[in-house]
Amino acid sequence: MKPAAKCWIYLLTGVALLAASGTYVAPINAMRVESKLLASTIQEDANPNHALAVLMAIGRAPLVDYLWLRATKLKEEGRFFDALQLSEWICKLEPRFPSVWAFHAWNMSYNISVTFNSPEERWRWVKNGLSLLRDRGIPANPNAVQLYKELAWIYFHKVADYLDDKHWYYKNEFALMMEEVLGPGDSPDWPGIAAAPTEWKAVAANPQVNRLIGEMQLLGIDLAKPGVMLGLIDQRRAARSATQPAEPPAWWAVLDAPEWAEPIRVVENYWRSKRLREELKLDPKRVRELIDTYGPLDFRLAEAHALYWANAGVRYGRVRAVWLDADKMNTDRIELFCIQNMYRRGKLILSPEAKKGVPPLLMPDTRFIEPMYQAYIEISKHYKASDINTSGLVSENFDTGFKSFIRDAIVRLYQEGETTRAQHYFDLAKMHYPHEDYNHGLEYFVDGMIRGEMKVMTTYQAQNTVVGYIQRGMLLLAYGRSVEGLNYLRLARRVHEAYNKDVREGIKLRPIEEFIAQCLAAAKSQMMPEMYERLARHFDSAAAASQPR
Amino acid sequence: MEQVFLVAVLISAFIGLILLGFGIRELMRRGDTEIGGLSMAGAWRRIGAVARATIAEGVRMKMAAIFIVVMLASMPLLAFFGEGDGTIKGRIQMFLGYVMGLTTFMLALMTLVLSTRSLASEITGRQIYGLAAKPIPRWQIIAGKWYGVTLLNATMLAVAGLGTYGGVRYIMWSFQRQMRHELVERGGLTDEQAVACVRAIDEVRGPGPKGVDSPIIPAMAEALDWENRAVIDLLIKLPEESRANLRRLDEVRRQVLVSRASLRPEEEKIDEMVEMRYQQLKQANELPENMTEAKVREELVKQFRSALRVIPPQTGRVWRLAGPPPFQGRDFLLSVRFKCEGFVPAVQLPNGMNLGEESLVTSWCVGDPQSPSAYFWPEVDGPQPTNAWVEFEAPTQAIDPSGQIRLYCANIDPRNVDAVFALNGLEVLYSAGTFGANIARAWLVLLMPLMLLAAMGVFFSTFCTFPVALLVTLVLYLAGVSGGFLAEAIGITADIFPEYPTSMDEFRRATAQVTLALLSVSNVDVSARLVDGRLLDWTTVGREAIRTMLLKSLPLLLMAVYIFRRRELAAIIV
Repeated sequence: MKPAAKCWIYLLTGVALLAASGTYVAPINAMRVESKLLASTIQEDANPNHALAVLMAIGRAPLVDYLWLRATKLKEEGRFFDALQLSEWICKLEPRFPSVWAFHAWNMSYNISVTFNSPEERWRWVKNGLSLLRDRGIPANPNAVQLYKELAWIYFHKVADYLDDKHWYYKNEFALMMEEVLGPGDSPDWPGIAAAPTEWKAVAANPQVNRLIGEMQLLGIDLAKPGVMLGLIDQRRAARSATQPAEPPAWWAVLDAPEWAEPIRVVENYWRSKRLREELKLDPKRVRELIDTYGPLDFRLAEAHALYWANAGVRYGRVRAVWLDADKMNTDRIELFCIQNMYRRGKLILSPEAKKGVPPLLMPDTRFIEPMYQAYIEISKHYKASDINTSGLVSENFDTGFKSFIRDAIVRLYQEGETTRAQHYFDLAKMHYPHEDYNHGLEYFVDGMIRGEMKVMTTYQAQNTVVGYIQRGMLLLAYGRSVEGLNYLRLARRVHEAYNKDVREGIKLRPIEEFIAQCLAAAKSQMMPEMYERLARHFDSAAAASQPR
Repeated sequence: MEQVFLVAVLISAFIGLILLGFGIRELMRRGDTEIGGLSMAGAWRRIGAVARATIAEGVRMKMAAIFIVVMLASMPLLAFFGEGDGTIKGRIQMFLGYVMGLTTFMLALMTLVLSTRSLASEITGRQIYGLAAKPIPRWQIIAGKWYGVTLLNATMLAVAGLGTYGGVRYIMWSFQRQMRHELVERGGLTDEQAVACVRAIDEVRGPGPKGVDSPIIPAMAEALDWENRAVIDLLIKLPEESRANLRRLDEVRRQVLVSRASLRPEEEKIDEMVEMRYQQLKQANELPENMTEAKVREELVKQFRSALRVIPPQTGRVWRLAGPPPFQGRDFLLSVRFKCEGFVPAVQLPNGMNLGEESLVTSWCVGDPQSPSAYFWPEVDGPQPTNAWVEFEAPTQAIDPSGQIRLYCANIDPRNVDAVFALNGLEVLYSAGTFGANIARAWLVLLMPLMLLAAMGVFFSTFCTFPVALLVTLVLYLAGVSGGFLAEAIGITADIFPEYPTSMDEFRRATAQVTLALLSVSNVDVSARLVDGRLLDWTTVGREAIRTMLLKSLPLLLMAVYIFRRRELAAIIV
C-alpha cells in the first residue's frame, strides 16, 4: 500500500472514530449535569464574580497570603471594619476551596458577632456569615456537602437555638424578614408560590393579569417594577387597621375588588417567588416538596431553613465518594434535630409589636408529631438489622427516647383536643410497648400522667408551674392570641385544682385569683403599654361578663 | 551636679555635630576637581532645573504613569464599591485604610522606579555627559534628582489627600441620600419631609439611649411637626438595617471623622516594688537557689506587671490619666476602650441572665463618682465580652479641662473571678483636634517614607545599573514594610520570644531588631490611626521627620554624593 493511501486511511479512521464518540458527548454531558459532576457551567465561570481569580492568576498566592495575614492581624486587634470585604476577596481568590468559605462564614457568624454588645451589630455579622455561604459559597461549589452543613448549622445553632445571648433578637428579625418576603402569617400560599413562573413575560401573558396590569397603569402604577405589588399589598393591609382616610387612593378599589383577586394573587406569588429565589436562594418548588414530606414547615423559623439546606446537602453533595462521609452524616443529623425542634417549638407567634423589639413566642407544634414519628422509623431501618430485641417500633438505640416522645405526644394531643390522633398513638404505644399505664384507656393515661407529675411536686414546684402557665397565658393574650392564652389559663386552673385536691390543708396553694392578680401587676410593669392594654382589655371584658345583669 | 553634667553633654554634642559636619565636608573635598565643588551659590536654581527635568521624566515614563493611574483610579472605585463591614462607619474606615495603603504602595513603587532609573539610565545612556559637562556640581545633580521625585510625590499625595477627603464626603452624601430614599419609599414621606428628617438626624449629637428613647425620635418629630409616637410608627416601617443606620451617621462623626488623643495608663514604678520585694525575700532567706539575682528580679517584674493588670473579684481600681486639653467642639465625647482576657465557667443567674464563657461583668465610672458630672457605665449591669475590645462613650463633662481623667473599674462578676486586662488593654480616647487637620498631617507623614525611598533609589543609582538598583531597593522596601511580619516570623516579638532566653537568643533578637530598624521605612501606622480617628500630633510628625529624614535619608544622600563625585562617568581614551 502506498504511504499516501495509508495516511488517508489513518486520517479517515481517526475522523470516523472521533465523530462516533462525539455523538455520545451530549448524553454524557447531560449525565454529568444531572449528577452535578460539573464544577460549574460555562455561564457560571464567565460570571464577573469569578473573574478576580482568573485575572489574578499570577499574583494570586502572595495576595491571598497577604489578605489572610491582614484578616488575622485585624481580628487580633479587634478591628473588623473590612472583615467582610477581606473574607469576600479571599473567598473569591480561592472560589473552589469549600473550607475557606466555611471558615470565613463561621468566623463572621460566631467569632466576630460575639465581640459586639448590641444585638443589631451581632445580627449583622450573623447575617454576613449566612449570606457569604448561601449567596456566594454554595453557588460556587454546588457539590460541597460541607458548605450545606455549615449553612444549615449556622441557621440551626446560631439563630434557632438558645445559646447566643441575643438569640431572641435574631429569631424576631429573622421572622420579620421572612414575613416581608412571604407575607404575614405562618401559611403562605406555597402551592401558588411554587407554581409561579420565573419570568415576568409568562406572568403578563395571563389574560387576567394583563388586564390588571392595564388597569393599574391607568392609575400610574407599574406592576412590572420590583417591590410595587408587594408594597401595595402591605400598605393596604396596614391601612385596614388604621384610621381610614377621607379620600382613599384609587388603587384600593382595585385591590379590594373580588374580580381582581385571582390576578393579584398570581402577581403577588410571582414577586414572592422571585424574592425567595433571588434574595434567600430558596427554590419554592423544593420548599413545597419539603412541606409535603415533613409537614407544614414555617419558614419564618430558622429551623425550616436549616432543614432546607441540610436536605439540599444530602441531595446534591456528591463531592467525596467515601464510605463514611462525616459531613453527610452530620447533615443527616441536622435534619433530624430540625424536625425535633419543630415539634418542641415549631409554632411561632409574632407579637403585633415585633418591630419594636418584642420577641416572638415559640410553642410546641403537634403537627410535627407524625413527621417526627416517621423520622424515628426511618432512621431505625439502618440500625434495626443489628438489634437483638426487634419487637419495638424503632431500633433499640432510640427506644428510650422514642417511648418518652410518644407518651409526651399523646398527652399534648389530648390537651389540644385532638383525641383521635391521641388515641392513634396511644394504641400504637399499647401494642408495641405493653405497660400497666395503658391498661385503662386514653383518658386515664393522660390523667395519670398529669397527676403523676403533681404527686412528685413540692408546693413550691406546684406554685411555679401554676404561675408559669398563668404567665404564658397572659403573654399569649397580650400577643393577641386569645384561644391559646385561655387554654393556658385553664391549664393553670386545672393544675391548681389537681394539686390542692391531693394535698393536706396546711400546704395547699393560695386561691388562683391571687396568683392571677399578682401576675397581672407584674405584667403591667414589664410589658409595653400596647401589650398590657390588650391583656387588660381581656380581663376587663371577662370581669364585665361575670357581673350579674 | 546633674545640671552641670547635662550642660557638658550638650556642649559635647554640639562640638560633635560641628566636627561631623567638618569631617563630611573634608571627605567630600578629597579629590575635588569638579566645577563649583560644594559651593552653595546658585544651588537652588540648578537643583530646581534638575528637579524639573526629573519630574518631566517621571510624567513621561510609562511605568510611573501606570502606578499613578492605578492610584487615581482606585479612589473612586473604592468609594463607589467598597463595602467595609456593611455599615457607613465600616465603609469609610475601609475607604480611608485602603486608599492610604494603596496610594503609598503605588507611590513607593513609582518612587523606586523613577529614582533608580533617572540617574542610572542617564549614565548608561550617556546623556549624563551633557549634564556633567555643564557648570553644575554633582551634589546638586543628586539633590535635584531627589528633590524632583519628592516634589512629584508631594503633588500626587496632595491629589490623593483631596481625593480621600472628597471620597469620604461622597460616601457620607450617598449614605444620606439612601436614608432619604428609604424614608420616602418605605416610610411614605415626601421628599421635603425626608430632607428635613435627615437634616434633623444629622444634628443629633452623642450616643444617647436606644430604642423608643433614642434622641433621633424627638429630633425627627420636631422636624416633621409630628408626635413622637407617629415617628416611632414611621421608623418601624423601615427595615431593621435602615433603622440601625439612622444612628450611625453621628457614630461616624464621633469615632472616625475626628482626631482623638489616646491615653493609656502609665506603668507604675515597678522597680521600687521589685527592689522592696527582693530585699524582703533576701532577708527572709527565701531567694530561689537555682536562680541568679538578675533572673529573680526579672521574674518579680513579670509578677508585678501581671498583678497590676488584675482586678480581684468584688474590688475596684482607679486610674488617673493625663492628656492634652480636650477640643471643645460640638462633637466632643470621650471613649473608653478596654480588653479583658480569659475564659470563665458559663452560668445562668437566678434572674435568667446568661453569663457566657467569654464574658465578664464590670462596672465603670468616668470622673469623680461624687460629682454630678460623673458618668457610670453600663446603665444596667450585664456581661461584657472578654478577649475582645469593648468601647463605650462618655459625655464631655467627665473630663477635666486640663486633660485629667479619673477612671474607675469595679469587678462585680458574680462568679468571683479576676478581671485580667490584656497588655495595653485600656485606652481612653477623646477629641483633641479636627479631622481635616489630622488628614493633612497624615499625608505629611506619608510623604516621609517616600522621601527616604527616593534617597535610597538615588543612592543605589549612583553605582548600580537600573535593574540592579531597582531590584535591591525593591527588596529593601518590601523587607522594610513587612518588618512586623518578619519579626514574628523569626520569633523575636514579645509573645513568641523564649521566656528564658539564652545569650544566643538575645544576640539574635538584638541583631534582628537593629536590622529591622535600619530597614524600616516608617514607624507610624498612619492608616490605622486615621481609620480609628486617632490624633496624629506634631510630636509624632517631628519624630518621624527626624527618624526618616535626618537619620536615614540624609546619610544616604551624603553617601550618594560621595560616590557620585568619585565616579568616573566617561573613560578617557587616548
